[in-house]
Amino acid sequence: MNITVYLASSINGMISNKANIPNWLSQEYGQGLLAICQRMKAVVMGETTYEILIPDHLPLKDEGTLIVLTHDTATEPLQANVVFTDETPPGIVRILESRGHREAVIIGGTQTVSEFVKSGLVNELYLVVEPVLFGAGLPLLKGVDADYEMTLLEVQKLNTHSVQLHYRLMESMNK
Amino acid sequence: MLAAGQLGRRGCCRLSTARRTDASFSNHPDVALQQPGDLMIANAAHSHWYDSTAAELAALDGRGVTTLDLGQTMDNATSRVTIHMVASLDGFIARKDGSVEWLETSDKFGGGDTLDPAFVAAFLKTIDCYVMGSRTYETALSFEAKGSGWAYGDTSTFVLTPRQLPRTRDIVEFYSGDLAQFVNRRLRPAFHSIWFVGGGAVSSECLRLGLADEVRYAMLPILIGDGIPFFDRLERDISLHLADVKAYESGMVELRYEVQGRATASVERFE
Repeated sequence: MNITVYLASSINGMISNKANIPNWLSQEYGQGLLAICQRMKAVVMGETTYEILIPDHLPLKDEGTLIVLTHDTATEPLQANVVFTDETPPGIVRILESRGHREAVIIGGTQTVSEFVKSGLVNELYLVVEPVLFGAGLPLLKGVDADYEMTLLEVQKLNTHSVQLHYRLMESMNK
Repeated sequence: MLAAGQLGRRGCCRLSTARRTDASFSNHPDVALQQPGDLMIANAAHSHWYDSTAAELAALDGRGVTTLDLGQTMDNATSRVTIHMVASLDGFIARKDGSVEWLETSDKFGGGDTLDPAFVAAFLKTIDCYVMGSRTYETALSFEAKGSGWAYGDTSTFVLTPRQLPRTRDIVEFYSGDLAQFVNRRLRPAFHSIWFVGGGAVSSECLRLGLADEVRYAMLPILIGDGIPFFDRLERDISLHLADVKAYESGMVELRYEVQGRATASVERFE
């Protein structure tokens, strides 16, 4: 399965500010996020990301699969295409494949992205760099103790101030 | 959409002879720095450190060498304060233990810019003074003591510290006190291009006090997962204006930002 991460970050690599309020994100990032979700039709996110997006901003409405990583798997989802799971990344890949998906996009947050990166299951990374420096916030990765070299594939200006970087991840290396 | 090679290439000559060798920073025996926050001294714009031969410069392949932006003219009458840094994509300037060998990534980005060493040298001459913290200075001295040379050439160098440190050359001066007064009353009237080269505390304070005009932030194509952040003493979030994007053959992307609000501050300064 081909797995892509699509995130926005501050210039200094944080994916959320201290207050965890997404008021710094560009419209173009939002459009890019929606476009890739609707293209891949399979979306993976953490519980916090899900709670920021509901009820109105989930990127898929009636089609595809929205996987939400949570320990609270008993709750009834708001939409029929939402799957609550506490599976590991390989388990999530199996769920997606059983539903006929061959590609998926991870849209946040730190823990979900880190788990997939550690599992070696991430093929590509899009980072939309917004024009802000955060003094504190959520890091892109946490608890990841290997290096991941990448190949720069494309640099694209999304608007006057936002730059989208697109990378392919290489195999991880021990430090 | 921009093809990578079209990204703001202004005056960068392609070096057909440039090739990757092992002459780069990360293979230097001094690579394990004592003060990780100060690795800028080695990987920032200071190719004085490398300037033994043009071939060595070419071998840098863009990595660790400043962007070459002819848009910034040498005869600009207005002074500019620049903060420069190089980091992993996930925002770290060194591992927790200070090591920076990951700076040498193996990416090849087709169509990315390479750097003409003569142009690099000319660009570095447009930097009129460096400002740094005490540990960055001490790191520079330790490099020199080990035979790697002084990284900042003949350019005036100001060390912000209340400590008593050895003054090894005439161009080095020490300052302790109000940073805003120092920048606005001492440095700006005397220098056009003022570069803050680390560490993170000094550069963060410069930004926090609204003293910086631009931030040059170079991202390497690697995730290291954990390490030393540069702006951890920023204390607040700061918005910037994107001014320039440049992608290098090494896979490094340099983003140049103007700091919002500086224009107003400049007016006040001349009143």
